[in-house]
Amino acid sequence: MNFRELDTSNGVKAAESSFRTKVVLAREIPWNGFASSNSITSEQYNLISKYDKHTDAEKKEKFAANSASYVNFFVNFINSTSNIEIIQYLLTLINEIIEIDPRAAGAFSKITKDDDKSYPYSVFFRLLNREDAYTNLHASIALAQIMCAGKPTQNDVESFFNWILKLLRKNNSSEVEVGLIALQSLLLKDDFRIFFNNIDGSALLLNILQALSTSSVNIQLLYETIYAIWLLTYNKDIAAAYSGTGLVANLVQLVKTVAKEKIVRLSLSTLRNLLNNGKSNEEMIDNGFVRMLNILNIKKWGDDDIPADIEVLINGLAKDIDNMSSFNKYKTEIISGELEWTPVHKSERFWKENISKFEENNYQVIKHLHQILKTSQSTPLQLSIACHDLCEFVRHHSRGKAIMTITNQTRYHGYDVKSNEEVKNQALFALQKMMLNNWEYLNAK
Amino acid sequence: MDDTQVNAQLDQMKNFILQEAQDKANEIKTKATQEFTSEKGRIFQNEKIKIIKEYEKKQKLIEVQKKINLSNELNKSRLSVLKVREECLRDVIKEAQKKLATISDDKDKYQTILKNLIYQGFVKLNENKIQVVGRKEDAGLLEKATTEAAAQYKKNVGKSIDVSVDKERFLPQGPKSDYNGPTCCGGVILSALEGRIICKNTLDSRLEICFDQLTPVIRTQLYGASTSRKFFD
Repeated sequence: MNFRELDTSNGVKAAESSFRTKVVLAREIPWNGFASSNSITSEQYNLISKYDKHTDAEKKEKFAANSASYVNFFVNFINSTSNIEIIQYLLTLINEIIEIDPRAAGAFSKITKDDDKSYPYSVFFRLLNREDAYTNLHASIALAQIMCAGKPTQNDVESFFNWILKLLRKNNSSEVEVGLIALQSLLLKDDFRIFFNNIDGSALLLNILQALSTSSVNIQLLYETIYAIWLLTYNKDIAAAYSGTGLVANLVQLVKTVAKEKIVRLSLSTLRNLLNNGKSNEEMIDNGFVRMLNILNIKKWGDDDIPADIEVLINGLAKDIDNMSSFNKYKTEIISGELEWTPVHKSERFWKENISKFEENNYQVIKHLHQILKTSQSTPLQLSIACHDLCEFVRHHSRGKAIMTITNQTRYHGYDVKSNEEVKNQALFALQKMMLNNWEYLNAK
Repeated sequence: MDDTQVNAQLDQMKNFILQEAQDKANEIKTKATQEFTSEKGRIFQNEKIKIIKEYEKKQKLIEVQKKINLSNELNKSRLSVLKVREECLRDVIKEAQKKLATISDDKDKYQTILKNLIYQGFVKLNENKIQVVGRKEDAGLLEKATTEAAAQYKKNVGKSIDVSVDKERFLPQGPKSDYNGPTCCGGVILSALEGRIICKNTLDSRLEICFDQLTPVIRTQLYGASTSRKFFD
C-alpha cells in the first residue's frame, strides 16, 4: 500500500480527511470535455453536471430521484477509467452520498451485470489492489457499506475479509489502521461479526490490542482497534468467547492508564458489552475494576455516555459481589484496595474456614496486602487493616511464618514510627505475633 | 509566530477537533444502528411468536369445528338411513295390505278363515250371547261361518252359544282403486254384553297386531342383525 500523498503522522483518518478536502474534492473533473468527446452520453452529462459540486441537500434530492442512473454511472465510470484522480474523486462521491443518505448503499448493492456475478463488488475489489492508499481506503469503505446493505456471495465476503486480515497482520501501523477502518463499516452487520470471528479475526484484534497496550503511543490506532473489538462484542457469543482471553484485563488497564477520554469511553462501552457474558464479571472484579469504577464515578466527564456506562457496570458488578461467598467478598475488598473493618476481619471463624484459600493464585491476596503496606499513599485505615489481616494469616496458616519470611517480613518495622496510634498498635501487634515462635502454646496457657 | 504559522496551528487544531467529533459521531451512529437492529429483532421475534400463537389458536378452533361437523354429518346420515329403513318397513306393510285385500277373493278359503276368526272370537270372549259384525258383501258367507263356528264351539268347549249376525251395522267395504273412505279387507268384530266387550278380529287389525309384534323380526330379515346391539334377553 502506498501512502505517498497522505501524511499519516496523526493517523489515517486525519490524513484522509485533509487530503479529501484539500486535494480530491478541489479537483475539477472535465465532464464537459468527456461529453464533447463522447466518452459519456449527453444524458450522463446531464446527470453529473446537475449533481457535481452541489450542496449535500441538493445531492440527496437528485440522487433519490434517479438513484439507479447515478449508481450505474458512478460504478461504470470507475470501471472504465484508469485515471487515478477521477477514480479517487468518484469513490469520494460514492462514500459521500452513502454518508448523506445511508439508503444509497442499498441502491449500489442492487446493480448487476450479466457476465459478472460479483458485480458491483468486483469493481471495488480491483481498486483494493491499486498502489494508492486513498483509493484502497475509499474502495474498502464503499465495499464494506455496500456489502452490509446487499447480499454478497460467500466468496466475495471471504476475499474481502482476507484482504483485511492481510492488512491487520502488517507491521506498518497505517496499513493496520486502513484494515481496521474497513472492518468498522463491515462489522455493523451481525453475520459479518460471526464470519470474522470464525476466521479467528477476534483473536487477531486482541493480539493487536495487546501489542499496543504495552507500548501505547499511537492513540488513534489504539482507538480504532478497540472500536473494532467493541463492535464484535455486540454479538453475545463473541463477547462470551472473549472471557478468559485477557481482554478484560487489557481494557481495565487501559481505563486505568490512558487519560484520553475517547479511549476510556470506548473501553468502558466495550466492558459494558462484555458484562454478564462468560466469566467477564469475575475477571473485572479480579482486576480491581470495582475500585477503578468508583474513582471514575467521582470524576467529571464531558460525555454523558461515560457516566451512564459506569453506572451500568457498577450496578452489574454489585450484583455479583452480593452473590459471592465471604472469602470472595473479602478478596474483592482487598484487591479493590477499599479496606474497611467489615465483620470478616475480626471473625475467628472466617480465618479458620478460609485460610487455605489464601494460597490461591500464588498467594494473590497476601501479595495485595503487601502491596498496600509498601505504597506510601495508603491511608492509616488501610495500613492498620493490612497489618491486622497479615498477622491473622500468620496466626492461622500452618506455614504462615515461613511464607511471610520469604515475602517481606522486614517491612513491618517501618510502621511503628508512623504517627497514627491505630496503625502503630496494629503494627506492633502483628510484629509481636510474628516473632512468637510458640504462640499457640502461649495461648493455651 | 507569524500569521502563516498561526494559521497552520489553527488548522491543525481545527482538524483535530473535527476528527474527535467524527469519531464520536461514528460511535453514536454505531450505537443507533445496534439499537435499531436489536429493537427490530426483538419486535420481530415478539410479533412472530404472536402470529404463531394466533395461528395455533385458529387451527385448534378449526379442528374443533371439524369434529363438530363430522359428528353432525354422521348423525344426519345415520338418521337418513333410519328414515329409509322405516320407509321400507312401511312399504312392506303396504304390500301386506294389498295382499290382504285379495284374501276375500277366494271364497272357499275365505269361508274357512271367517269361521276360524269367529271361533277364535268366541273362545276369547267366553260369553253366552254374542253379536257378530261383518262386511256387507260378506253377509252370505257370514251366516254359514257363524253356524259352523257355533257348532265347533259346542263340540270343543261344550257350551251352546247364542250368536246373531248384525243386520243393520256393517264393517266398511273392501278396498277399491277408486274409493278413498275407510276400508276393511275382511274378518269380523264380535261383541258381547251389548257392546261392552269387543273383540276386533278383522284382517286389518290382525295385520296391525302382527306388524307391531313382528317389526324386529322383519327388520332383522331385511337388514340383518344390528351390529351395535350388545344385549339379548
